[in-house]
Amino acid sequence: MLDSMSSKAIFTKIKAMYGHRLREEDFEQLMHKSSVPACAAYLKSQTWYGEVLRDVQETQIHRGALEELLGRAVFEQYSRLVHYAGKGNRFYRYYLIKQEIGMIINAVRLIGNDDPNEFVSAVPGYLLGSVSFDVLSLAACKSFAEVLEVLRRTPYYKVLSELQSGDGGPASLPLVEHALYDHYYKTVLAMIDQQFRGKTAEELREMFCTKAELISVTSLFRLKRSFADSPLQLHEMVLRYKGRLPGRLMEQIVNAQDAAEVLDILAHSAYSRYFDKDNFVYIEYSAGSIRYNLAKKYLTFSQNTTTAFVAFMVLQEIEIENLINIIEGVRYKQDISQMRALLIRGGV
Amino acid sequence: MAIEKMDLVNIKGPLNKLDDTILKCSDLGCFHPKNITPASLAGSKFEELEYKNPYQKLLSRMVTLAGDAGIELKYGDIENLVVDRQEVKAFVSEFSERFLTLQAQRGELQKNIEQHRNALIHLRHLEGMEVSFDKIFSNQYIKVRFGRLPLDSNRKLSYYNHKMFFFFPFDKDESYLWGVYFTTNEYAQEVDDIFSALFFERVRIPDYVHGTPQLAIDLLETQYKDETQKFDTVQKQIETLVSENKARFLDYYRQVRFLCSTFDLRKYVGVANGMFYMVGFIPKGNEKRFSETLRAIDGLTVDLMPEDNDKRFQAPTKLKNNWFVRPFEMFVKMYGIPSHKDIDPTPYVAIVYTLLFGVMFGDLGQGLLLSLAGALMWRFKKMELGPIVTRIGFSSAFFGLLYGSVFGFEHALDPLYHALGFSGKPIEVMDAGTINMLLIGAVGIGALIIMVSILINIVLGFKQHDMDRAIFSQNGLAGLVFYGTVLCGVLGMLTGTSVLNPVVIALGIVLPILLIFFKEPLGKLARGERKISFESGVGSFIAESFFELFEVVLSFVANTMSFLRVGGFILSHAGMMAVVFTISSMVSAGASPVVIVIGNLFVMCLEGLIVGIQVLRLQFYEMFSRFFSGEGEPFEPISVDMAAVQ
Repeated sequence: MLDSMSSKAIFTKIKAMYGHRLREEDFEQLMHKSSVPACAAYLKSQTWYGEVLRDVQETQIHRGALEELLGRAVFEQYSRLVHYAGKGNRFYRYYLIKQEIGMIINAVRLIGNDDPNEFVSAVPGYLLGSVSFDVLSLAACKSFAEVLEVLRRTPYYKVLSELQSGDGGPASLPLVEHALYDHYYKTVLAMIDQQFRGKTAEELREMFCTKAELISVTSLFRLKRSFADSPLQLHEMVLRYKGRLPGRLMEQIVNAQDAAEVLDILAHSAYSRYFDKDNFVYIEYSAGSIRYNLAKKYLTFSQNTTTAFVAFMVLQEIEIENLINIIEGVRYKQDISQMRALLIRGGV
Repeated sequence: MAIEKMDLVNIKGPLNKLDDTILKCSDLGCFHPKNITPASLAGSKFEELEYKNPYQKLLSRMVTLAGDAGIELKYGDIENLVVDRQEVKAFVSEFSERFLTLQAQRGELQKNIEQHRNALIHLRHLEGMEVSFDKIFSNQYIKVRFGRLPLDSNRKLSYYNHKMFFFFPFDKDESYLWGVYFTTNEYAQEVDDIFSALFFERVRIPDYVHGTPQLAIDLLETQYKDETQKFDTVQKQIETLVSENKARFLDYYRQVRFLCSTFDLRKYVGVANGMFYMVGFIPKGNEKRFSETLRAIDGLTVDLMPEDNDKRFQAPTKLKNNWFVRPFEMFVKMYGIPSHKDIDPTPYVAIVYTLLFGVMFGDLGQGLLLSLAGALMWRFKKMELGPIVTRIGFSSAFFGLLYGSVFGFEHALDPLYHALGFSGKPIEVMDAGTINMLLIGAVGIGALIIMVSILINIVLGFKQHDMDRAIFSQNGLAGLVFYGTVLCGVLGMLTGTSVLNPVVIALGIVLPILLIFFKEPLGKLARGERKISFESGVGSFIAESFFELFEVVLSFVANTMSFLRVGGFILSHAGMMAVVFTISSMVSAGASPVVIVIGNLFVMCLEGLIVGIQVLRLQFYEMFSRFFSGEGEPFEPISVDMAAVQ
């Protein structure tokens, strides 16, 4: 059980860290900047990211380097909290598993890419000491079989080896994503069942299952919009973890004719306030808003440290997503109203 | 416990009267608009108002310019609102052009200065090298790149060990590794790509640098000083330009912002067949004033309907409380806004908060001083907490009267009590016999508060036809019966009366526990679902329900005991004041009053703050969590966005 004295200390620490979050006015200021260096200068001098950006020269910083540093800032928060939690709290490893899965998916996506620099550049250097396999070896993989070889001593090997086709050729990326996410949620939910009971388990399950459900909905929506996959194939894309949508509704989404029908189904579901057809921005925005509101609710009201931890990490990830969107927007001289519309703040 | 009733309003009128309508609505200050969608106007050929705000782009440009120029945007009186958009545009363009030119010069100089500074760092590491740069850079076959590599990227460098380059780091700070890499002409492009992917920041050694590192350092330092002087000059020119134009810029900004905000109110408007439509809510009592004012506009129709007439629109919540209770709305809003299905818990909060604070922090003198401080906080700083402090200060003074404590002087009120016919103070806090009574009393108050909170939840559950909530949950009837029976049992044990017999145990303890245990299937049955399925299997359901039940029982005990702190703080206050007086008796006669004054202030601030927070905690966790969800939408009448203007 995590509810020890140290966990109470983490609870306080989480609240203190959350107090440093970027506010509405920070995002407004950033959107009004005329260049990426100006954004970097603002983040360095006016926000809690200043700590990781202290040695950065705003005029020279590369956008990719800036984004990696922002990711590092969140990882440092994670590491600090886990450090306070001590060795007993194995559950917090869920965050690293997710990062590992993200890197594997990226590696599979880039199989056959002649330029390994793209993968190496995208690997967060700060994670290299924390992951369970040799990430950089993935950069050189020319086939799915080579990716499997790198992952041989990890649990991902068993998950992915089942997807290998007869000639050892590449499995389709959506199937790989599905298998890895399925493995992730199975692992996390098993950890929850093992380590938590009662309200804590309920809150954690809700957060993770909702995320899994949103991944399914997002994938289905995208596939319906871009391809004409048969419902039979799409069934395999669904992560079967119960969130807020009843099974029959998920079936309806799978069988929908097109993306518009998916939207229509969602507009009449438990998520109706996030899928107003007339104010629909994009699917990831709606999914992000749901996650934001759920995490905000639990961080504000839950009395449990682990719930607060997970909720806090979700909110930090969303803050980074928002920042990256703004930095991209500033870089490509996007209209401020467009940037503002993409900002996930829990509004609908 | 009042939430103001609302009327749903539909406004329809010719498009050319839209501005008048928006202005009237804004002036009236009681119209809360809802976003109108095609679905809201089923049957009509609906289109959204596609007017593009003509001020938005200009405003955005001005905000960006102000940010870059360091002009703080403030709202002030608008002397003349008749602004010529073209005139503002021309002014902004000219100001912007001049500013951007200077800013570009400054940026270039800053970049050079940074380059020089970085180059100097490199060169200082090479001071001992007796090789001329001319030789290094004139090599036909080798490419040399100085720069710095992020430490995170350094870890990735190992992946490229087999590539044709050498990287020599010669300095390290907390984030970067400073160094140089060498490669051949043939591989230069590939290696440059690698380092670029690793976010290597190249430091260019200027072309004019010749000779040994020492010579180069001397040259660069001179160059560095020159650039710095030029930078200062440009900086001064920028400051002059900004100060010359600031007043005019701010004047234009206020006007444009004002016009832009007014225009933005059109987002609440839908258009069909040349008519505009608006939907919203007004508080009851405003119907006459509202409809009369709007109907004065030609061609406008205003329909008033009950608030729940259209289920697509959730009525906003406006709390309505009397003068005593109103300040405590702040605490309720901190937790969430009650929806129209809920009740307004503010009066309950006001009574419990005032009482508990007074009980925990009872001192006549300190209480009155606290009230005065609260009044001043409101009078001079308009702090919302001020009126609350005033009220709880009086409560503190009242309980201080019962405890006989004035600024810690425990016998100052004895003559008053004697005059009233008492032998001494009504409650002697530090008396051994009283301590037990205080602690038991505190738990008793807690139990009462918990039961009232559960009762409120039951009423709300029935009101909303939610049987899960009203009957089967721990905060429903089952929880109330269980908790009440256990409390009676404990009371019986304390007084030596046997209350618990097999029938009471079966009906008051076992039955509610079973109801809570089977809450989920029973809830489904109550909702009319015929088939009850356990999603994760029966075994999992039993295991989960068992642990949840265990937690429910534990939380009842923990929540009740949580109120022990009420008694604890009564003792702690008396104890802290006793310490102050002990210290005052240890110092000289002259210093003693100083110790008493400072001690009183210290205790007042520290304990006042802690007690305030503790009572709030009790409210949020022991009361609100039982019945209050806070999912309402605040009532925000249409108005020109003055906050944005500011």
